[in-house]
Amino acid sequence: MREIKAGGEELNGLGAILKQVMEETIQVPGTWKTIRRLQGTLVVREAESQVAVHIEFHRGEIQIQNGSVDRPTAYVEGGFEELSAISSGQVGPIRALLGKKIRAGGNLWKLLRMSKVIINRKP
Amino acid sequence: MAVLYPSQQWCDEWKKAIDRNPSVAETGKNWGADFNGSWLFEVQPGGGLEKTCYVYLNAKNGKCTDARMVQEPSEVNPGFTAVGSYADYKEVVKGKKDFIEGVMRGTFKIKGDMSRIMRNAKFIRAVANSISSFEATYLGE
Repeated sequence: MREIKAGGEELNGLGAILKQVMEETIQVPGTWKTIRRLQGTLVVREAESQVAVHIEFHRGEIQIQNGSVDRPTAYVEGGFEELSAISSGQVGPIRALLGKKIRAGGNLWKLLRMSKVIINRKP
Repeated sequence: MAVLYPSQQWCDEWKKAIDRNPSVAETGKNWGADFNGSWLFEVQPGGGLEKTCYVYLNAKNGKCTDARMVQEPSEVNPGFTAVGSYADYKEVVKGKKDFIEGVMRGTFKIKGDMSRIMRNAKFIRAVANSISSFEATYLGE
């Protein structure tokens, strides 16, 4: 069974939500195939509260932890509604980026691959 | 007239506030349609509240179907729970703090199917906003 590890102290609310979402998405074969060989760190920040988590990818091991890190591989920042729309598959990350609904940076190619772990398209 | 938070009168006013909020009706069309969309808010002591109390809220298809105080969590079968202190809930009810922000920070701990919450984020925001749309009085003040 693939799993998401939680590192450090108790996860903040954003982390707890994303962890549950990720625990489902990594069971999807197509998503797992995309992310299993990734290495790097994705920072996700909720814009209004400035609450952040970082998700570390290490060749199939995935860990989520509170807070940001210096020089992540990629980052994404948006309001709760915007992050939720992306995470639930209602809006694609590229569309959200182009529409300036979210801010993102770093290695955008990796961002698109990494972000698949937080996108749950189940109806 | 201001109603005491928490009380059954307050629950009644919250239900009315939800039902007169057009954003709730608009964004909540799918909420609770094919899943349990009810919430149990556990309000823990502090800030004037001496004993844990529970507020149960059920909403379906953009309408609030039930809002009441319950004595024990076992009386209901909520799809979602939110746990926080009275002092923190009070700030939300007063409109001084944002419920979603509190959830993000972990001030309020929520349980349930998070993908439902993410898919219905605008509805959650609308319901949360309605909580401060009427006058209330508070314990310990």
